[in-house]
Amino acid sequence: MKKLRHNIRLLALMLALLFIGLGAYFSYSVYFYGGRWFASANNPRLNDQKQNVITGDIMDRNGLVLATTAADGKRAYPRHTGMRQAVSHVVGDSRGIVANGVETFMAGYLLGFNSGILDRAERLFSGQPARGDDVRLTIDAELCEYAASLLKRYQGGAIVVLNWKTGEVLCSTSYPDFDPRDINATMNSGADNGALVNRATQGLYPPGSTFKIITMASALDNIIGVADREAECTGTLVVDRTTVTEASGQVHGRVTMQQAFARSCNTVFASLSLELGYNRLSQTASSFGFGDNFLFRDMVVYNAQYPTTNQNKDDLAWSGVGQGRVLATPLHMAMIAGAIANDGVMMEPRLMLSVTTAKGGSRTLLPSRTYKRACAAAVAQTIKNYMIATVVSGTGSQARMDGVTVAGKTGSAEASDDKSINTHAWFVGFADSAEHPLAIAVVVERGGAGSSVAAPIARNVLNRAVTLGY
Amino acid sequence: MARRGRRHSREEEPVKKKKKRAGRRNATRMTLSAIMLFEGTACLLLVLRGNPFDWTAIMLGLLPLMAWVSVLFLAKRLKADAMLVMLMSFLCGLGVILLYGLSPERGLRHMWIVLGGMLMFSVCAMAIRVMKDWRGICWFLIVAGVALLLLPVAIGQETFGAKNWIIIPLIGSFQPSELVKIFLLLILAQFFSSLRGIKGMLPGLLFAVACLATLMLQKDLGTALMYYLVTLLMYWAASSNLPLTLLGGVGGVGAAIMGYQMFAHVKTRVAIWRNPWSDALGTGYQLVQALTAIGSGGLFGLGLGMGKSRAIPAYSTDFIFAVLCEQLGILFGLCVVGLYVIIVMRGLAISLQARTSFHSLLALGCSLLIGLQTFVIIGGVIKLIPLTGITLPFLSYGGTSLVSCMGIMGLLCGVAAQNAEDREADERMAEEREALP
Ligand SMILES: [Zn+2]
Repeated sequence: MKKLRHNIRLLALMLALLFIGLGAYFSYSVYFYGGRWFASANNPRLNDQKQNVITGDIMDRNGLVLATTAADGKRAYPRHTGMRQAVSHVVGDSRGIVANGVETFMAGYLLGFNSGILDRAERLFSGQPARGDDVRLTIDAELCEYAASLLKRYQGGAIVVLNWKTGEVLCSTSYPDFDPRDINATMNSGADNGALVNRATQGLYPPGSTFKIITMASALDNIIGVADREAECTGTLVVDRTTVTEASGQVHGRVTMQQAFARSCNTVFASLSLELGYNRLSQTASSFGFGDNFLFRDMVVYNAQYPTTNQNKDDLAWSGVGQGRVLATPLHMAMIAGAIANDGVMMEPRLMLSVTTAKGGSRTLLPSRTYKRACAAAVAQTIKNYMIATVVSGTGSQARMDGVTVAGKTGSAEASDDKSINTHAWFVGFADSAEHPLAIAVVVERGGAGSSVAAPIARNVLNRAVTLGY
Repeated sequence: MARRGRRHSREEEPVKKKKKRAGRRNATRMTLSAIMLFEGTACLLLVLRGNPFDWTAIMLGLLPLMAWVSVLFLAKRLKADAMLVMLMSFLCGLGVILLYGLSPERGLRHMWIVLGGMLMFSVCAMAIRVMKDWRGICWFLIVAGVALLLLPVAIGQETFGAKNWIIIPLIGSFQPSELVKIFLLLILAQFFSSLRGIKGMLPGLLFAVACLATLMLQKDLGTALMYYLVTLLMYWAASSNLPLTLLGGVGGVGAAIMGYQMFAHVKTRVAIWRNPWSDALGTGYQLVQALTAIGSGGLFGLGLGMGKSRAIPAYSTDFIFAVLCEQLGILFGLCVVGLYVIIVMRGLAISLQARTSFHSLLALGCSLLIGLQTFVIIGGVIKLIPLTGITLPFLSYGGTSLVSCMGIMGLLCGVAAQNAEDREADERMAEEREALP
C-alpha cells in the first residue's frame, strides 16, 4: 500500500505536468498564432462577416485610401493604375488569393471583429449596417509607386524601405504586380511569373555579397584584431573540391579589411568564413535572424534560411559570401541594414500605423519594439564605417547622395549554376543620418551586377524618400 | 511544545469540525447556485436566439433542476463526493448547451442520455459500496467484455476507417468499447490488487491484451491507446515493476511504429499534425477549421450559439473543444481544462485515501482514464499531439461514451463514499476507545 501510494503521487505529478504543458502550449500558440489562424483564408467566418459588415478602409500613412468599400458593396481601389499596382501585394485581396495581404491579415480590424461588446449591442439595437475599422498603414503610397516604376524595366524584384529607428515600413513593393480590380485576369493569364507573390516578404533570394555584412560581423566578434589585418587576394581560393573566384575575375592584391569589404572581395571573405568555422558563422547568422521563426505582429515574413546541417568546407566557404543554401527575403535584409544603422539593435518591422473605429475613435496600438540585438554596438560601428567606405569609394559608389551619408553593400547573387543567366542584383544599405533614418533593400531579379543596377535604384528611392520628408 | 499543541487542538476539535463542515456546505451551495445560474442563463439565451422564440430550448430548463437534484439529492443519498458530482453535472450541462446551439436535436438527445448516465452513475456508485467480493464478478466481466468487444466485428458497421459500433433497436448506435472501459477498470483493479504477484495479475493483463487485439482489429486506435495507457500505468502503480513496465512501454512504441507503417490513415494523421496548412482544403481541413475556430473566438468568444462552429467537421464529437473555444472563448476553454484537472486530482486524492488496494487502484484507474482521455483529445485539437478520434469526457456528443464516463465517475464516487464510511467507522472506534476509562 505504501508503495502504491507513492506511485500514485508520482502519477499525479505526471498528470499535473501533462496538463500544465497542455495549458502552456495552448496559451503560447494562441498568443502567437491565434491572429494568424483567424486571418487565414480558410476561415469561413470572414466571408460571412462580409455579408453583414462593411469592410473598413485601408489607407497609407498620409490618409490616401488604398482600398475602400464602394456603395455597391464591392472593394474599390485607387484610380491611378501605377499606385494601385505598386501597393497591390501589401494590400492584398479580400479573397485571400494573395497570401497574407492586409485585407486578410488585418481582417480582424477591417471586419470589426475587434469591436467591443458595447459597440455590437448598440449596432444590434440601432439596426445600422455595421462598419469595420479603418486601418492606416505605415507605407507611403507615393514612395511605393515611385519605387515600383524603377523596377518595371526588369523581370522582377522588390524594394523595401524601413525607418530603422522605429521599424515602420515606409515602402514595400514587388514586381511583377497585378491589378486588384481584375485579379482574375492575372490568375487566368497562365503566366508563371509569380505576379501574386509578395517578393518583399515572401521572396527568398540568395543574398550574395550582401551576406558579407554578417560574415564580417562574425569575424569582428570572434577573431581578435581582424580589423587591422591585411590580406592578399590572388583572385582565386581553392577549398576542397571547389574554387572560390571573384565576381568578374578581378585580382584585388593586398587589401585591408575595409578595402576587402568595400570592393567585395570573395576570396578574403571565403577564407574568413573557413577560419570562423560553421558554428560561429551560423551563430552570428542566427543572431541576425536567420533561421528565426518570424512572428511579427503586423505582417507575415518568410523565415530566412541558413543551412542547419553541418557543412563541408566547400559549402562553408560559399555560405560566407552568401551563396550556397543561404536564402533571405528583401525585408529581412533591410532589417539587417537597419540593425547596423541602429547600433546593432534590430527593430520589429511595423505595417500598422493606427486603427480608427467607425465612430472615429482610435484603438490603442502596440508601440514599436526591439526585435532583437543583432550585434554589439562596436561591431555595428565598424561595419557602418565599412559600408560608408563601400559607397564612397567601393562597389556602391552609384548609391552616393548629396547631403546625406549613405552606407551600403552591393551583391550579385548567382541564382543558378548556369553562368549564362544573369545574377540577382542586390543593394542593402541605409542613410546614416538621425533626421533621415532610412534603411533600404533592393533586389532586381536577373538584373546583373548590384553595383550598376541595384545601387542607383536605391539612391533614387532614398532621394525621393528624403524629399518626401522621411 | 508539541504535546501542548496537540492537547489544544483536541479540545477545539468538535467545534472546528462543525465549522469546517458548515463552510464546505456553504461552498457547495454557492457553487451549485453559480452552475444553475449559468445553465439557466444559457437556456434563456438559446430561447431568445430563435426567431421569434425557440420554445424547444425551454426544455433545457431541466438542466439546472438536474444539477440541483444530482448534487443535493443524489450525491447526498449516495454519500458521493459533492465536488465531483457538481463538476460532472456542470460539464454535462455545458455539453448539452453547446450541442443544442449547434443542433437542437443532438442537444436534447444528449440531455436524455445525461439522465441515463445519472442512472449508470448511481448504479456504479452503489455497487462499489454494496458489493464486497469482486472476484467472481470480475471473471464474469472478463467473459462479457470480450464478447461485447467482439460484437462489432461480427455485426458492426464501418465509419471513418473504424469499425467499432453496432445498432441496437430502441437505443440506437452503441459502442461496446466505451462500456468495456468500466469493465477493464474493475478487472484491472481486482487482479492487480492480488497479493500473489505477477501470477495473480495475469488474468487482468491477458484481458487487457485481448481487448487491445480486438480494438486493433476494429481499427479503433484511439480507444486502444486509452486502454493501453491505463493498463500500463496501473500495472506500474500496482507492481512497481519498472523493467516490465518499460518493456510494455517499448512494446507500445513498437506497436505505434508498426501501426504508422501499416495504416495509411495513421500516416496522414501524423503528417497533418506536423503541418495541417500544407493541405488546408484536403486532409488538413479538420484541424485547420478547428484552429481558425479557436482563433476566431478570441479570449472571450463569439457568444453562445454564435460563430460558425458547424464549419468544423466532427464538431459535435472530436472537436467539441474547438466549438467551446469559439463560442465561449479561450479563457473559458482554459478554465474547463482546469475543471478536468480538478476532477483528476480529486480522483487521485480519493485513491490515496482508500483503505484497500482494490479501491485505491480502482480510483487511480478512473482518474487516469478521464485525465488521459481529456489530454489526448484536447491535445489533438490544439495541435499539441496528433489527433486521435476519441471523445472529450462529458462534453462530446456520443451516447455510450457519455454513459461510460458517468459510470466511471460513479465508481470514483463509490470509492469516495467507501472512504468516508471507513473514516467514520474509525472515528467512532476512536471515540469509543476514548470513552473507556
Ligand atoms: Zn579579391
